[in-house]
Amino acid sequence: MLAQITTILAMPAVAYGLATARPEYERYVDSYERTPLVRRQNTEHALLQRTPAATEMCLQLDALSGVYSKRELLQRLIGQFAAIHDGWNGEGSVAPNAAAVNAARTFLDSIPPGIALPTPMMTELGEMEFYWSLPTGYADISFDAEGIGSLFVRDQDGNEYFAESLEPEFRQLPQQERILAVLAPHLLVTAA
Amino acid sequence: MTLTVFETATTAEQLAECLQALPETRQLNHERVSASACSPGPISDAELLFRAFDQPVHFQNGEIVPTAFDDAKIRGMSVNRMSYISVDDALRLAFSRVAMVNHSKAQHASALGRQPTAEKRRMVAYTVFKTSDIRVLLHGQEPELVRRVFGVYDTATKADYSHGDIFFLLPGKQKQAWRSARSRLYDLAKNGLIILGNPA
Repeated sequence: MLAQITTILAMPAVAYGLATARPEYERYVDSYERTPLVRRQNTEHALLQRTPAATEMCLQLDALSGVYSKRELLQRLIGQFAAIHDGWNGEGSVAPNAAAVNAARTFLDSIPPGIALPTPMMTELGEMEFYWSLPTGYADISFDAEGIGSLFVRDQDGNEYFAESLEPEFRQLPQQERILAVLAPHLLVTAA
Repeated sequence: MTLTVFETATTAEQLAECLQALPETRQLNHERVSASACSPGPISDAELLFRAFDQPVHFQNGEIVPTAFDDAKIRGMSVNRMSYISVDDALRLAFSRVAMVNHSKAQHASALGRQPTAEKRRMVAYTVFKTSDIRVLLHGQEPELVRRVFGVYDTATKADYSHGDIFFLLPGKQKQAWRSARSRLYDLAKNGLIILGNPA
């Protein structure tokens, strides 16, 4: 009896929901318009941080930080990149091959303690990459289909450094002092 | 009258390659005249440009990653000129494009007998660039060798007259130049980045 009553009450609600359903973008636009924009000084741009939604291919460190270490999470993400198919970003885009993935895994494991772990990313040419964006500068490292690395570093003064034909081993990167000045300046202070 | 690369290139990838192969003066001349018959006019330095990000792989730990800008090198990075379209309408266009791509991907995956869920597009964020911020980016140290890194062109279409493209202009496999340019674009995008929530 109770089940029948529940069904009778629920049916109009479902019908009303279907009749008034709107496309996803309209619901988004409504909520976007209700949220006040934060005007940044000296720019016309509006900055509004929203809660990012997790997807299968997105790294969300907060969500799993109690279960895995950050390094483990990054390795899991690399595993997800490795499972992607050719064509993932349209015609001509390729999945990273085993050499690129293995180089990325090896490089990640080689980053010594005290250095911020980077965020993994991939290109549609199948290269596996990592990047750091820090107050002290920017750096990225890319591993191609043969697992060979290239490194780009820009310090906070805008000085750039680039190196190619690299092994996936942090300690073997050339110009360690220059790299550490961006990625972990506190280690240089300690050493001095 | 000679046809331009915008008229002769048959694919976006070919257009990117042809533009990169041109001398800098010709690359920059193309910014001063309409690249498309559908365009309301060349893009001025003061114009604001809307860019949507719909590839979840390019969104990690709450941020857009630098590889999200690789289109600028490979096929041109699509933008919408905010002088000719509102943010809401640009978002509507972006959402309908995502729906179209996902539909096509689902059909393709189904034909191959696999699930496309992990590679589904989803609108994750958008940003706003100021054209002059992009045009001011230079490559090279010596005054006589300094070159503009990106070109911003009014590649309007019949369906979207607000459409524009940002192209990386340096020729050849200039790895360092590209990585430097990409990191600058990433920095500019961060200033105006708006991360979209997951609509209920």
